[in-house]
Amino acid sequence: MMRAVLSGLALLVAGVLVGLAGLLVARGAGGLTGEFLLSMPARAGREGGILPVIVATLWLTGGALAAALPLGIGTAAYLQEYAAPGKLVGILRTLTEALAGVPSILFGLFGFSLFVIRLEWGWSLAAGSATLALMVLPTIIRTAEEAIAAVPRELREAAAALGATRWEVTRRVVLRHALPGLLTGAILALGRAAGETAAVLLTAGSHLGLPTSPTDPGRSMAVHLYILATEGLSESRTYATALVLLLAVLGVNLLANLILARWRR
Amino acid sequence: MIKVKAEDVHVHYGQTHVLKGVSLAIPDRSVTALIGPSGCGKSTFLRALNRMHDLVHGARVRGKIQLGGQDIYAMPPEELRCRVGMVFQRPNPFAMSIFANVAFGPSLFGIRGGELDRIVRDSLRRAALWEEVRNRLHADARALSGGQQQRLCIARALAMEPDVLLMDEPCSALDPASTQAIEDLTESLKREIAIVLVTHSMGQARRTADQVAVFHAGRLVETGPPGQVLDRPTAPETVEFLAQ
Repeated sequence: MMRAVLSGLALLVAGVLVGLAGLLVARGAGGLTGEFLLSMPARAGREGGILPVIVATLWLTGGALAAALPLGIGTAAYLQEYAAPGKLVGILRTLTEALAGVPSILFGLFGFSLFVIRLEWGWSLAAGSATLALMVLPTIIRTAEEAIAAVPRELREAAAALGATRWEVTRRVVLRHALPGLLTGAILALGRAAGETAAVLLTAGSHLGLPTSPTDPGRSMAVHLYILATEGLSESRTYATALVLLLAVLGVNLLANLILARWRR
Repeated sequence: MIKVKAEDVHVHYGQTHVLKGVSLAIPDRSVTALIGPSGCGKSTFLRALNRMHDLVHGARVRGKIQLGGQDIYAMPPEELRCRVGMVFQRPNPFAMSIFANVAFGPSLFGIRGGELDRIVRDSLRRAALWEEVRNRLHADARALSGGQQQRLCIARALAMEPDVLLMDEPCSALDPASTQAIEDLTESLKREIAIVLVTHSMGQARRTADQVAVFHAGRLVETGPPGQVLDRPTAPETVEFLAQ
């Protein structure tokens, strides 16, 4: 009896996911052409392509990960490998966990007041990246800590017994063996950053020009999608944009899995 | 000649007093076997000799340990561990190639190229693994069998050209044939270096050791050649342990 109910539920969930992807493909695939990807938009996005939106998204997510990965992995390595268990570590970990539960719009507001206004960066890809970096930092720290904690103690001892310093043990053995988990965290963070709308709208703006430097404002795919949909500018372009976003995130996921499979071989 | 000299060594883990004043002299070019019931402190003593306790929060070591007449606490732990190699209970190769595993230690000290190739080759030869792996040096080390992995770990330790090799129950995860290979290896290595071997096997102690040290409840209760300690023990703790 319960078996039937549970398998029904599982089927329902699978159906929703397939339906979601199916909807995006059905409505978006027609508009998804090479020209759509590589041309500039016209008439506020009613016509033309999404080149600047793709470029802005690459800047934003790339910048966010470039900042958050070293910071987050470094913090996790400190917490796991260096810090003596105690108050400071407890406080840091609690803060990280609390930060993970903060709604993204609050990160947006913080980024807006700090980067856009206070530091006078204005609406810019830099401000957007920095805000996204802060937003995904807790995710990266958490997953990196788990990945590092899962590295067997015997491997640390083996390296230390060969004369490696703590830093050499961490860099050459611990982080190397934690790599699959670190990559998984990076993918999670990438997905969140690429899909974030509110915080990006507040910090990078919604300018539809082709950004040429991090000080330029820009419109991410998620923001573009939001604007197209709420203003009813072009339904086919809304869905085509959504499909691009989905395929990009799935593509990166797949790539990461391929790398992992090769690495594990 | 005495290679390692331990005097009144105590180890505490937090509030627990694990090792209670052990003094032992370990001669060069010989095998010293540490035996005793589980939890008697034999591994704890072994790990004091290359300062592995430094890595554990809450572990404290007291007493005096000398390596070739030098206080091991007067040198950086990294330098000590280059001179005192260690092989662990379970084979623990890194997720790297066979070559990279053996090269790990020397490469920390900037050794590269032909010099590194030579060290890797020699170490694998000394660990009696060269013939089995010479054609697949760049294969993943974890693809080797358990016995081969343990010999790889020995080669990895030998690559640092240590004066002393600490072995913590190196055969406990191995089959009889692999155990035999490790024992043969011990026999040949002791011509060059001092070996300290923790073992739970009386047979292994008898076959390989020149000196046997019996631990009980954190203390060293008896020391001597295997023929004496294992056949004519004097300490009541040894008698009781051997009777089990």
